[in-house]
Amino acid sequence: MPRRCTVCFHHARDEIDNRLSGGSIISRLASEYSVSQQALLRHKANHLLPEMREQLATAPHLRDVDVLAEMKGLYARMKNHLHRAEEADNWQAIRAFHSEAVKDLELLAKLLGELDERPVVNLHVSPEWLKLRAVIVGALEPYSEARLAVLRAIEGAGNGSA
Amino acid sequence: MVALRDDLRLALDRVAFAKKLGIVPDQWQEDFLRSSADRVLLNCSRQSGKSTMSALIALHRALYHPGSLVLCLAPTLRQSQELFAKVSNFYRDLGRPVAPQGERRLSLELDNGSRIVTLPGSEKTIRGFSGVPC
Repeated sequence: MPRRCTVCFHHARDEIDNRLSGGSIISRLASEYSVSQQALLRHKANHLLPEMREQLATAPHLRDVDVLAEMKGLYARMKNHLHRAEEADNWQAIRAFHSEAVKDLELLAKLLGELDERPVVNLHVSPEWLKLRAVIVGALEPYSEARLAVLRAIEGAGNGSA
Repeated sequence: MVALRDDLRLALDRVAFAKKLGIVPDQWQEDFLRSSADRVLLNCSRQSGKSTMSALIALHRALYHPGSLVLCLAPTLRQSQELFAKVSNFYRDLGRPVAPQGERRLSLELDNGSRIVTLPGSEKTIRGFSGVPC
């Protein structure tokens, strides 16, 4: 389930939207409203009302900001943090930076038009399949030969011979 | 269909699982990986890949048998850490296919309810873990 936008549900959302569209500095807004810079950037890119976006686009000091370059910079910084957390074996930080890096990457992919957002059903990660797979694996576990026979059949099906 | 077939193949065959991680097992390693014996005694030289195979089996069990408790014992803390590093690296290389609930220095807890715990010591010092006979 996608995480909800912390800015959309923030008690001061209107105020934040106004200041975002007025071109306030992201880092300052982040510290004033206790939300992450990534959340603000995502909100700005995805949830800001159209008229506010227009206002933002015409704000004189932001007209020349290259959103893609900014996002790439943020992603690079997040990866750098992740790398350092991995080197330090800091699992808590790894989880946090990994999650933020994935979100940044998704946003970058959206900006670049590389993310196909049509609904996709991944059967191999569906709970029903995972349950069924566990049952199959568990049932075949004590029987090496049966397991190999199933494997051969699966590979045969892949080669079009079944 | 291809995704499901490949997924089931990895779940059923630890040799395929090893190859997915870029490891091409020797014949004895294939036999070991495919064994369904409760106990296996290996007569191997140093650096022959025993820990690597053990780490593969531990991770495979945790990923594909939800709710498993996998205990990996090594004589010393240093060896436990080395073993856990292998498990952890494999898990990372696979792209964390089951989300982690907790990743600690010597243990990994997964969303599917499985746990891998590496411990220094012997059978006598691990009593207390559920499933370990007293």
